[in-house]
Amino acid sequence: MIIKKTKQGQIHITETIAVLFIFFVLLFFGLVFYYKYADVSAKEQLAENLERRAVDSTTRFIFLPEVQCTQGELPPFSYCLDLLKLNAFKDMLLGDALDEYYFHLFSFAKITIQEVYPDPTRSWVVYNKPKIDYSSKKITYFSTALEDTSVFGGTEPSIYFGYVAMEVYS
Amino acid sequence: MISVSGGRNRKGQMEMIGLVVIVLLVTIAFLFLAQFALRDNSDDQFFARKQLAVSTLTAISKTTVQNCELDGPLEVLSVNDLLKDCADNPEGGFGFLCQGKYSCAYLQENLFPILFGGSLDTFKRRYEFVSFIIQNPDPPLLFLTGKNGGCQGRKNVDTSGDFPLNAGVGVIESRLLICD
Amino acid sequence: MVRIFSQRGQLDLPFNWIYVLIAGGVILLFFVGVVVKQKDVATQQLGTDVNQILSSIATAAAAAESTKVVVETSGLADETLYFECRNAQTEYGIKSKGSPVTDPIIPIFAPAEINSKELLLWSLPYFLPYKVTDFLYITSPTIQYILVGNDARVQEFLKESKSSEQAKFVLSVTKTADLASFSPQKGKQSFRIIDYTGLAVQPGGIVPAGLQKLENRQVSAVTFSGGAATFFVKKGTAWQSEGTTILFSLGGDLDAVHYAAVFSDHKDMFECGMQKAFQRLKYVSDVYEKKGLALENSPGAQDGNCPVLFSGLPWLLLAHQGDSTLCSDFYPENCVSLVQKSGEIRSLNQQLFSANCPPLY
Repeated sequence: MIIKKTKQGQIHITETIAVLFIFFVLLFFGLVFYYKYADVSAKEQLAENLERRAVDSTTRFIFLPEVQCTQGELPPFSYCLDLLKLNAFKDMLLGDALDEYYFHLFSFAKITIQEVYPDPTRSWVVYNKPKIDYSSKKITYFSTALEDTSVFGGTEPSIYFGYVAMEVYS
Repeated sequence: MISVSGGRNRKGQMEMIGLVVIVLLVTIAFLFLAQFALRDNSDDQFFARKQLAVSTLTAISKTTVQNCELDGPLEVLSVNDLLKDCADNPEGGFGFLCQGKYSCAYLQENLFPILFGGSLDTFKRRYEFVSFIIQNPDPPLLFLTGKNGGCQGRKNVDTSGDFPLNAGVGVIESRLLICD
Repeated sequence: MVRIFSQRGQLDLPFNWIYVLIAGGVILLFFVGVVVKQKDVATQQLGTDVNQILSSIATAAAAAESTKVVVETSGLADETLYFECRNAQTEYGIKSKGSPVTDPIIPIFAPAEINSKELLLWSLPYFLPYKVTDFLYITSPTIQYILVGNDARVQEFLKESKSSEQAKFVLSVTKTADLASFSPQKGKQSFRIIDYTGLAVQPGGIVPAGLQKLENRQVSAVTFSGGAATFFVKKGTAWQSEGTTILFSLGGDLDAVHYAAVFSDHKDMFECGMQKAFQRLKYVSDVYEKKGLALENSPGAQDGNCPVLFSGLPWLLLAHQGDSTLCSDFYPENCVSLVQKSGEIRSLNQQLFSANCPPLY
């Protein structure tokens, strides 16, 4: 009996090792791709959260009882800020009220009211709590009526037009 | 004579099946990832656009207008009053007079460019505002587009909804569109 | 003839199978691991989403009067949502999972635990006499409310238990004339008796037979009598009182304080929520006090009868602001005068309206 030695086994093992090597390389690339994707996805999620926070904060501000226009016992006006209350609220926030209470509502943010008509030179920074080392910020705008009950024309107050700029930091 | 035991060699077929399995697994993995990539995240954008349209038109309709006359100076006049007057007197000639212009001309050329310009143009938004009489919508009473453009052919267009107003000649509808 | 036998097949075949088994096993384990991890992440994410939704709804509630919202939580049907309120801070989340949300601002009135596929949220504004804040009530269709009495508020609650805008918003509310013979509806997890007679539920009184077999935490009650509410919990077959609390409210339709007592299953939850409301009242009153001073000196307040009406306003507002601060710091002992002052301010405001003077609110 003659047993013929061949190198086929060795070749086969080499093939198998090569396949395994390719397999692990593919796995590695797959994992890198997945983590990169997850990273980009997380950054997008943060940006979305910041946007949502900006919209939520603006909605909260416009409907704050401290600044919203009222109609006695009737439901209050939407998208209307009372200028006298706004000034009083601004003054109140210069004290401890901002850090003790309103920070829980607005966090790090800057809320500016800009009058557009009739006097575009008037504006009020009502809330200002900047974040020194912020990574990103987002501004949202909402238009609003500005009611001035101190200027009472007959039976109606004067109503101006302006907007709220809500700048949030993360 | 050398004979190699065994019949047909099915190794090629098995390797083909193996390849198919791998391709299937990779496809499933990509489909899994694709569902996240294609997820529509524009809900918050929609809410912000819509709320901006609603808030702008609500606020504008309440705004009181200065320096208008009707046989003498008026103390309180709102944008809605001017809009009604514009619908009743579209050609001018009589009605409210603001800074030398009748209602429609004053709203189209002076007041609305200030109000929309100072807000939506400042926010760099594309928009269209239209106001018309329901019973006679064409031509509209007032029509404005933003400095950055209007909303014809744009996607993601949100509307303020209709703001109806009763005038002498019928019902006036005003609508603001904001788009991407 | 020479036959050459190769042992390659003996090595090749088993090695291939071992390779297939190992590679297949690794891939399978990998995907099983991914699925299990994703399930955990999904549950955590759902919990966080629900918390975010509750937070956003609380915000949206302020934007519209009397909002009714349904929140689907079917993914959390096996979990229990809990609500706690301590030191004027509400904490809510999924029991033993995820990160709870702490809210020091919005007064939330809810049962201690909810296990349901849906949450029903309702908000009402609280006036004293101007709007202070919105109260948020959280409940679920698995809680049955049993009304006893013929008070106008019975009809109001029955009417408000449904929403014309949200067809899915349906509170489980029943009126009964005979509490003793009441039998619980199937499929409900908790039962709350709202007694407007002040007689049906008494300290030491017997719990209705139909509810006796239930666990103590599943049954609670509140009675309303003379501007106060008394909270009861079940202890075996008898009622135990948690105490009585005054309802600081101007009354009227859709009274936010009244419904706060209805939806809080414990006195602590109610009082803690009210404490948050009075903290807010302190700041809102400060704003109105300053507005009152500015209005008094404004041109619109100098005509006709306005100066006379305005002369009384500043001290009234200052007193109300002072009372609000005291009440917020020492709730409920120092809150009694608030309702009376609120009534006076409301009356003065109505006079300002009638006299064509600029109103306070």
